[in-house]
Amino acid sequence: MTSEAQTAPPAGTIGRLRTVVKGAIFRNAGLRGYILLSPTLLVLLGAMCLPVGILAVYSLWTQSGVEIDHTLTLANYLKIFNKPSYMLLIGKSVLISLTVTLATVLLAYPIAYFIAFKIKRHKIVWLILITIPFVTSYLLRVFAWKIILGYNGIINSGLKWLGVIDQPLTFLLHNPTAVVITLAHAWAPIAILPIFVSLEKMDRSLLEAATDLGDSPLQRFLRVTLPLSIPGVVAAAMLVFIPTVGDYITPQLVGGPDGMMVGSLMHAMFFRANDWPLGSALAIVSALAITVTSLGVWFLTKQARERAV
Amino acid sequence: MEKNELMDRLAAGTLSRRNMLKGLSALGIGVTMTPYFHGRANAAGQATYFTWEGYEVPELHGDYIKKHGGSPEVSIFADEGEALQKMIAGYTPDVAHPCSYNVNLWREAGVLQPIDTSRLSNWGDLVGSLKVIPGTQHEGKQFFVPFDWGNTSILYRTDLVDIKEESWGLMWDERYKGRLATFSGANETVPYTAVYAGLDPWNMSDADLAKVRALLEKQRPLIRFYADDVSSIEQGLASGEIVAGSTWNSSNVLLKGEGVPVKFMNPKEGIMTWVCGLVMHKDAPNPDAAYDLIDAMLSPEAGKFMIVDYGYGHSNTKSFDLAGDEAIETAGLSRDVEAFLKAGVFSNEFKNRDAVLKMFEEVKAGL
Repeated sequence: MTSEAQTAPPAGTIGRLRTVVKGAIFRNAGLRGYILLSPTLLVLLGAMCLPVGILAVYSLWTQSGVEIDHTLTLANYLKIFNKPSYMLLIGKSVLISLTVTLATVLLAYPIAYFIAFKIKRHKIVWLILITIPFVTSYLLRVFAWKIILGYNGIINSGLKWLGVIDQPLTFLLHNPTAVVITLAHAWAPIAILPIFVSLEKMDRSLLEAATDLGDSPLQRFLRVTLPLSIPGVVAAAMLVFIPTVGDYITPQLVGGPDGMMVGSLMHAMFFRANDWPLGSALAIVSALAITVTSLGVWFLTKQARERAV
Repeated sequence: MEKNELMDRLAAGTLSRRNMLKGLSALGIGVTMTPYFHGRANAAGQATYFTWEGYEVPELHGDYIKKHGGSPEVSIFADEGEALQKMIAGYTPDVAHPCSYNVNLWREAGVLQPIDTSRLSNWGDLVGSLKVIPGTQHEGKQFFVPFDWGNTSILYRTDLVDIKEESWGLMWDERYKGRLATFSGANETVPYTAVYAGLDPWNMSDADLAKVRALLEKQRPLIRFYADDVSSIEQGLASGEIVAGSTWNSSNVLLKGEGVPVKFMNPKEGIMTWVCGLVMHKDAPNPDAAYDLIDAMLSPEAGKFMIVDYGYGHSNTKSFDLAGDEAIETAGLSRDVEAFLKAGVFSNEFKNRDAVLKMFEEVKAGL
């Protein structure tokens, strides 16, 4: 605030306007909040709402060749809902992602637990070590798995050298399992961090109390630690589940024909088959499927927690 | 800390551990960021060349390097459809590398400009018939400079595959389930499927399309992977993960050179032939450099490299004299380009391109 404004209210229309605006800002806490938030809100509007809106509009158009027909129609949605295989593909993608989420959370939990409870000093070093895989390119991590699981890959040549097999195992790569393994590894740090945070902020005296009251370590974990860390687990699950459903590069590289996910088809519609509208409709339908699944998971955990309490 | 200071102090042994780590991390950031700045700094002078994997090697634009002191900026595409979408979305390379059957579509999409052939010193030496491929000229203007030609066929491991006669049917042979690979692009995989079914790939009725679709659906469970690039097919064949895959001439030359027992098939239903070439983007930022690049790639020296090292044909007649008859024969090519292209099924534009592309994407996704 300027010193001029403090000493005497300026005369004239502009001066009055200034006083009114300032008054409004001072009196109205809500308005102050929105002004403070405005950079974030603008970014959200520009980077989230606008693209989603464009996507929604595109999904109501149709395309032939490079020409887009701007007549609004539900044809794309009808196509998706009338052909069961589209929904099956989306269902398969959701299933693969749920498996990925389960695997990631199960693998991430012990690591987060270890850092939260067993590491006393230099926790930050451990956390940085865990996020290091994230520094390398996503594509490199996928390729690393290709090398590990490949026909002449590390696992196959290792087993061959040991004399366990004489023909390379072919079920390792180019199938949905390979997609699950690759994604579970790639998203591990994203799952570890929220679980770690929820474990870290837990009140340790609760654990002592449980022990004093005669709980065994396992009972203590199941009755105190686990329920208190559920918010972190749910957050981790959402952070992994939501982005992996639409992934297309991992299925493309390690999935083979059966590992294809809906992201691959969306990519194909946009970049190969020249059908942006159908691609947009697919994107919106799978976003809805993700939302419904996420809400379902959230609801189930909520129910489970309430029953436990 | 200055770079030289870092080195001096390192040498003198007066660098504290903390300073050294600081210096190293600065170096790390510098190294990681270099590619980004490098690209931008160069963009002003050098042409940008948007092409398939393998065409960016300096041997193919020697004259350009002599004139501009370096190679053009290169970005790679694996599928012409993706390349077009990228350009429609605003990417502006100077020179791109589609095949003849896509030029019409690209021109209609408004990403091409006509090429002034008088600015190409090698234009007069090019094979006449390649200059007038249908769809590559419009209203008397040239939109396409032919560069390379060759085949699409099956490359198979002679030690792992046992066939009585060479046929596209190998791609449907149940004995090799899970050990076959094909291109993920409809432009590659759909035509040979139609040829195998005895149809004209470029003029398919809806009924024909349904037949092709049925065949592709039958093929899907036999396929180990749909390949986005030739290297994955080459690696698969070399390791024995796959025993046969659809590919181009260069894979044959490459794998034979590595001593892998492979044969490039001449199927009884007909081998696929194609011509690809160079086009200029409508808003090419460096048109002068673009003409230099195109001309350099048309030179007999570049052509010799194409024939000898890659096994592809080249559009310049002089390239064949330079390569010699032995190399031409080894590569399975011919001086009579027209006869060579007519001996197979020449790659053209699909009559109902949209339906074909969408059909294949649906088959791949298992719809």
